[in-house]
Amino acid sequence: MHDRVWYLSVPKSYFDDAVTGGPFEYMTAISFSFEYALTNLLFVPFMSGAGYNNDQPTVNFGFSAQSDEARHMTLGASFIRFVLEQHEDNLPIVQDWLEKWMWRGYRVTLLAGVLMDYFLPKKLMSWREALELYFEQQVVNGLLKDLELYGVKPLKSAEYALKEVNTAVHDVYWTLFSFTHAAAFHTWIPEESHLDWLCEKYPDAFPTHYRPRWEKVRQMKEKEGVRFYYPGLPQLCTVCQFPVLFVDPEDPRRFVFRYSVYRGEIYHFCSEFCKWIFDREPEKYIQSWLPVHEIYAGRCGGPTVPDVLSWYGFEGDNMDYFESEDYRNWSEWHKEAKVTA
Amino acid sequence: MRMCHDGKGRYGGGCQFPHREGESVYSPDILVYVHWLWNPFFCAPAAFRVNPDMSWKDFQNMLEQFYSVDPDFQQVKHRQWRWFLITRENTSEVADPNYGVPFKPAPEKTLRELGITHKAFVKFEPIT
Repeated sequence: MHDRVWYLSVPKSYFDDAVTGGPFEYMTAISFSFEYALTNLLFVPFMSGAGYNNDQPTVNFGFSAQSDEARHMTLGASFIRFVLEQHEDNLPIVQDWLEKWMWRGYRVTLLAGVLMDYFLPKKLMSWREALELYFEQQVVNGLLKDLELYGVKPLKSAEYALKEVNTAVHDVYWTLFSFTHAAAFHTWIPEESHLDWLCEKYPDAFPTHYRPRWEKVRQMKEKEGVRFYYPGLPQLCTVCQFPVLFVDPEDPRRFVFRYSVYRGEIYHFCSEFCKWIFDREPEKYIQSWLPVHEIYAGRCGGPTVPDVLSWYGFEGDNMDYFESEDYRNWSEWHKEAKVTA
Repeated sequence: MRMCHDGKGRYGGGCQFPHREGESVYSPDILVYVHWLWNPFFCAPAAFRVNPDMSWKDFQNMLEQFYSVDPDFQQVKHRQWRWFLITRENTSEVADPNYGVPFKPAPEKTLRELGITHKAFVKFEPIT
């Protein structure tokens, strides 16, 4: 059941939400918000980062994908103008869709941010730098400003994305690190020089709020031989399906929590925007297939992590990088070369 | 998912669907979320499936096992803690969603007697 893997529910729920929105919402969500507004933010650092790290197959895939995306982008741009020009009644509907889809799309692109700031051996640029260029400059102050001609107002979700630029990407990687025992990819404790780079790129938040916990887990590993993993299952946001992991940009010592009560049951969210999305269309999201709730309902093969991983179809690709077959192979193949661990 | 739109760009339009993770799905158990305030070491609140007739004492033991994974938990384990609760019933009394309604757990009471219902959110902070 690969399509039910817990972290894949983030992009899966994103596309499911768009596909079940009917054709006009779908075009706004995917052709416009994703394949026009957010495409550079996702693809340029992704492909450039691959090239910078000598991953030529990924670069080739990128060129191929982008030749398609150029056509999709044109479609999205034309679509949004067409709908806004057709009738003034479309404006409030489109305004709400833009808020919703900029929010959902931006949060999904944080996975590219984690790639840039944590996974790439040679760092091309920081996620913050990418967001400021491909999102703030080109989208918020460019593309969306053009739409103001039609009466579209600046997006609050875009403003908030920029507000949480110092923390959100670090919250996501910390979560992936915490759950690597249940993931088919590896994470690791960043080296000191990497932590220095993160402090330099995110001086307002990283030294105070993030570096200490990395030193703590390094201590646990070196002094006690314990590699930290989250000892249970997390609360998930009903809408975006991320764990409720995002801190308050105004006070990163605390998380953002929101909830709604609907037809006698309570629902929890990671942000004001996911709550707003739920409150607009609660009948949609009360049908969400949330991995943690499905595991607890006994619908994912069994109660333990190994049961669930087996049900997902995983075959031993989990755990920290330094415990993995990838690392063992790499060390073996580069035996003659100098290896740092 | 059934298509069901209101003609104004929203899903719903008078359709009603069952709560996929409603109380009846887990009955007699419930889901409860727990969070140690001000401590980002745990990346998100924890989700548990528990029987609401379990004692608070047993529930707290379960939490101590969970949170002991953080070495710093030993320092707060024996302190006094402040507890907060958000449930589907008490939201009108919640002043701040980052906290909840203050409540006083009692070891011999059950979760049900303490007002902890399906998908309740329990938060605690050690009093310094």
